[in-house]
Amino acid sequence: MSRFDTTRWSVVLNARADAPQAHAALETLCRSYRPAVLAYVRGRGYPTDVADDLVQTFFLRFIEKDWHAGADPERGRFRAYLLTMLKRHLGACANESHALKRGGGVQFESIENERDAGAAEETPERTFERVWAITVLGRALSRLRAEADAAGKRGLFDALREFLVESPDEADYMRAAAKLGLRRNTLAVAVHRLRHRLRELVHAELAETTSAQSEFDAELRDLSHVLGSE
Amino acid sequence: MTNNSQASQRVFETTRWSMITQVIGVGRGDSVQALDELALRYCYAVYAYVRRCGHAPVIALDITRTFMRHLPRHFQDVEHTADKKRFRRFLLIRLNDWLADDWRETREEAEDALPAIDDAQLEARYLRDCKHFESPEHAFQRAFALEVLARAFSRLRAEAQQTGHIDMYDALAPFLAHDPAPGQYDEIARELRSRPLALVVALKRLRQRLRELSSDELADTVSSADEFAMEQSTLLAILHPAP
Repeated sequence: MSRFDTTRWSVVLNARADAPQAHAALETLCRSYRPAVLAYVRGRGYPTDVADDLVQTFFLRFIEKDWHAGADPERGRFRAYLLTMLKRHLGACANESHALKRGGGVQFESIENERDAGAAEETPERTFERVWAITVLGRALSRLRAEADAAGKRGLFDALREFLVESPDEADYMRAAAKLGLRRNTLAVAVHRLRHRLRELVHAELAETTSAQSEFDAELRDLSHVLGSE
Repeated sequence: MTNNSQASQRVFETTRWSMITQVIGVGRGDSVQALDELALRYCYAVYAYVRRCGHAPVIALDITRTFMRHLPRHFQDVEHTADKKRFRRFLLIRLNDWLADDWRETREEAEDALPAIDDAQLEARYLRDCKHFESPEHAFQRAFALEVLARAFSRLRAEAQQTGHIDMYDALAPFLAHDPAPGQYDEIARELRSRPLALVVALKRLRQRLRELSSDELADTVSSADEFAMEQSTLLAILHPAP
């Protein structure tokens, strides 16, 4: 049994349409990565209220109509499948909108005109990837914070949190060491270990959205690329 | 086992790493000191690894020194290490284990007893040799291999100094890795008031001696002829990666 046999996306792929366990896993995944889906739809130029409705409809259909049953277990990256299905969904909604317009309805008439000026710099796909990566990192950080709480180390976590993603310089360390009353070398080792744990948790988050080692490796490369080029 | 291979194995029974592993767990003070000394020799590899993890230079040095202090005091753990045949592998395993300890167990690290590390060149060497390696493990291996060579070069220079040939050594050292261009032997011979043919012979001997000293250095980090051969081939591949 590999470690990918029990990831959420594997459970969804293996159980397909009927198992309640698969539905629960899928709902968790969809809830976790809703921000990336919403960012993509907003990036396509839909105003906030319309984008919210589209995302809501998308997830309802994705879960209730068992769209996940069409995913290829051999090509098991939840992120890629979700984006493909989202594009189809938006295409179908646009067709419905045009049909309505021909029949008199004008539900999405002003969509293109209301495109966010700020979003024009970035493609919707790029926005989706960026928000997805931030969501993965955010979820890992939340778990790390919960671990710190449980261990009574919240103060240490809060003081070192700013050092987890950006590399601090010597002055940052001196300031934090003085604040915590620890020596600089103690703090340096603690930061490394905290980063190590964060990396483990990021890997765990990514693994939940894949079903094989090769897909996990590809997701990790993409995540590093997106976060590294921020 | 043939006589030759028995003799060869006997050589490896007295390498520094063999002697450390033989008395490990017995709690002998000299084994702690020997491990301390061997680890300090290769602190550049540890520094390169930690730097490649993304830490600032001064912080990487702090972490390196703290690990160096920790290692000999917990050397009994080598009993539980899968591979104690090669010091390089042992060092990397212990470094990874130590760095991956639970951050929630963080305790104040003593600062006054940290080992002195000659850090003047560490950062410059890292920027020159290892900065562009894709992973901390690659940076570690590269730095370890370069340290073996650096120590052999240093001993070769010391020998030249002792035998009064330091001028010749300094003139020929740049050509230990590649042959001089046409005419360069004549130029150096004029500077040293020697003959080009004498320089050709001297360079050949220097290269031979450098090979011996590099092997000596490497042998100190392994415990058998097989491990030596494997280590030699691994480090050569790191120094001269396939295009």
